[in-house]
Amino acid sequence: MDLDYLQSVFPELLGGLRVTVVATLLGAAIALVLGLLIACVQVFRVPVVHQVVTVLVLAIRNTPLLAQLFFMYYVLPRYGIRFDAFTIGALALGLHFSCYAAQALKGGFLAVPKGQWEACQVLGLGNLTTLRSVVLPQALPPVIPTLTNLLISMFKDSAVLYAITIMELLGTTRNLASTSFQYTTLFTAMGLMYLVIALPASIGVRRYERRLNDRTVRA
Amino acid sequence: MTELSGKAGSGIAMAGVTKQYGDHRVLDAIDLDVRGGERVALIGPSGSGKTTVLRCIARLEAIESGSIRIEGHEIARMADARSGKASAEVAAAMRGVGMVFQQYNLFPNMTVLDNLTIAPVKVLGVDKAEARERAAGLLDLVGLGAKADAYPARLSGGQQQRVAIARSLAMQPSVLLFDEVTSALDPELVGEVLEVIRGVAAQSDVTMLIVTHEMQFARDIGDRVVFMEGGSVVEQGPPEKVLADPENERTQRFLRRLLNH
Ligand SMILES: Nc1ncnc2c1ncn2[C@@H]1O[C@H](COP(=O)(O)OP(=O)(O)O)[C@@H](O)[C@H]1O
Ligand SMILES: [Mg+2]
Repeated sequence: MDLDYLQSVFPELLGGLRVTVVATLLGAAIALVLGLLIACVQVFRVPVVHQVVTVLVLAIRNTPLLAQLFFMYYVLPRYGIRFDAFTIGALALGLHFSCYAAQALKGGFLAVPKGQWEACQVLGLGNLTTLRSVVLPQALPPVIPTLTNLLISMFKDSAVLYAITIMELLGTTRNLASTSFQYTTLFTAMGLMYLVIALPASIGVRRYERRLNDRTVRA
Repeated sequence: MTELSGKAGSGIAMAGVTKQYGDHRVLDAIDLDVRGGERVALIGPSGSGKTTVLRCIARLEAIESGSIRIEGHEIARMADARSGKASAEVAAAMRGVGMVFQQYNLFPNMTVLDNLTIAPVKVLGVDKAEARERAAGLLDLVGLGAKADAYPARLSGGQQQRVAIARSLAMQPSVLLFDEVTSALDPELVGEVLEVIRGVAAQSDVTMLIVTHEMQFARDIGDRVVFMEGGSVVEQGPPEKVLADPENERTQRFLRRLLNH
């Protein structure tokens, strides 16, 4: 490890990490909103939309994230859909992970007892109130660990954005290395930076799960 | 009683209602009328279709054929309808229908008070403060004024069911459906719930259709007792007649079996 060298490039590495984090957060927001929509469409079996979404989800879950990223980056512009690389990156992450988030959320919805939906219906609560005030508050807590694990996966997988020229943490590191050849120092520091963020999140999930289990065992 | 302003309309009218689960005919062209303000106890062996009757009236189930009217409005959900969604007119009629479930179905993520106010606020557009005030009054009525801020999980089954009754009353229904509301309870908690229902019956003129296995209760509360078996009404009449001196042989057999328990 060359600490002097590391110190000199540290701001650049931090800049890369910042891009990684921002892309992940944006992707997560997209994945959550889209995942909720997909889960609702599937739970309520919205005609036609439901079938279309199911096919799309299957396609996304069974092709590599990198392939989807290239598709959006190279193919969409040919049909007049143009975004900058970063937006495409965040969209691709969000779209990819929305399919997994939807699965988790759908599980959460279906785990809410049927009687809860029926009580809402008899009281005349509309679909939106039923979801927001009754179903989501019960469906979300059990799936928060799964969603957080997805967030951690997305954080790590955001490294693929390097492939479409986005200078996130991996790309920045690689670029620095290609001129300085300080591979050991750079890639060790990069690994530690990923860890510093992902590890506490993983530990947090573990703790939360244990607390949730305790509570359900006691209840 | 200001909390219970439920007004009696023309009640419930089911005519020729047939309900199937797959090939299994659960309601077989059943006719059942409950006049406005009347209290009808619905009894019958397990699997005879009592719950299904209530669920069809509450629009939780679609029916194959027949008609269900609430206060004169046709509300039946037909199995062959293109959408299960209620029209505005049906939704308005259904606002007057409350149901109390065997498993209470309180919202565990809300306090007792919020369980009572959510529907009046969101559906009827009642002002929040007013809804809370009315809810507090209803909780007093069911003897749980002190539990307004508790979460349902902290309450006993009997208390939860009393909250569920108060929740249905908060919508000022004209029709209330009760589905074996004491059968999930420990025996020592049954009395307090039945007492609350008796109180509601005495202080309002809400139309009530009550499925119950408690024959003494059916006798006290019912203006009429309806015995059903195999998806249709076998016998009905005044409680003292149907329960003490039934004419139909199947009613006799059912009551004899209950007695021998
Ligand atoms: N969701 C369902 N799917 C299939 N069969 C059902 C369903 N619900 C009820 N049944 C059947 O319908 C019949 C009547 O049920 P139910 O109305 O619950 O009777 P009761 O309340 O009198 O015990 C029973 O044979 C029951 O097995
Ligand atoms: Mg039943």
